[in-house]
Amino acid sequence: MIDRKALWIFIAVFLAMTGAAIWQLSQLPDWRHMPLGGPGSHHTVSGLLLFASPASLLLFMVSPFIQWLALPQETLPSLRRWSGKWIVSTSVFMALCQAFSLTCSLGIASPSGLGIARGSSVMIGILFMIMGNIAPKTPLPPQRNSFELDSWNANRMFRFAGKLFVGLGLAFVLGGILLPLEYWESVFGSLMLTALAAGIWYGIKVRHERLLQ
Amino acid sequence: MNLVFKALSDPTRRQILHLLRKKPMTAGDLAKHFSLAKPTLSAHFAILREADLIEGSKSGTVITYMLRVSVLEEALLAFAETVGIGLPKRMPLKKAMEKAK
Repeated sequence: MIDRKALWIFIAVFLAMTGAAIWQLSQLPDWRHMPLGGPGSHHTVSGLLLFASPASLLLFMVSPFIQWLALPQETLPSLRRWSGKWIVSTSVFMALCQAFSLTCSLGIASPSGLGIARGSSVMIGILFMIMGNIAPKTPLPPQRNSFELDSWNANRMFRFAGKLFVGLGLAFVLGGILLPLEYWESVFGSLMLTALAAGIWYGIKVRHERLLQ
Repeated sequence: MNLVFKALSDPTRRQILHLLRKKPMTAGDLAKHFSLAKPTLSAHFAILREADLIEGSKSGTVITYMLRVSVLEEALLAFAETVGIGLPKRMPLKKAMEKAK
């Protein structure tokens, strides 16, 4: 079962975020042009951007629900613990994103283009770190047949993936704050490719070790 | 998080986690590495399970434990091992194990 306390937190956060987005949208003279630097700013984006955070939060809920439907009965206690951490951390993260976009549209904070880019990089980094940190706790179904990757090897892969994501997240946070914008493409691109290659290499290694057992 | 700190503050529990890093082990296999009474060891397992650091799966009468630590918890474990929290005179775990040998 999905953690009930976390589910209530999700519902409360989702409703608050949607309500805030609707309220802010009703304040705009034209929903197609939301000023990013507050009222009167010439830098505008579509007002629908205000719904990006609640929509993303809804998407984050898909994973626990699919697992709840797909996993066997004996895995439910670990699903409950994992879903609690997943739902609460993604809800808090998305609420912070929504608060950031609201403060920008209300003119409380008016970051420059560079500030928005750096803020986005830090946010992506934090999201990677949250996902990577929880990844090793993902509930695993018991092994049904010899063709499936057994739960121990799957757990090893999740642990490795978790470390990769946390490392990438740290790089995005630090790079987003410290690196000049012109280096971002090459540095972040090569880091992502390296992480992908490392993930594939580890997957092959685990599979190979399993075949040797 | 309090449960995690409590679980990681004890050197025996850290050693259990250290052993489980390599492979999943049964309660009996783990007991071979310690000179502790079964109820004491069971209490350690219960604390680790409560903190969601290990997961036990029962098949028949055998319970197999598997590591379930998040990246942050693994970092905390490495820190506690390095500093030697819970050991007399703040002795690092490696040194304490060598001394015990």
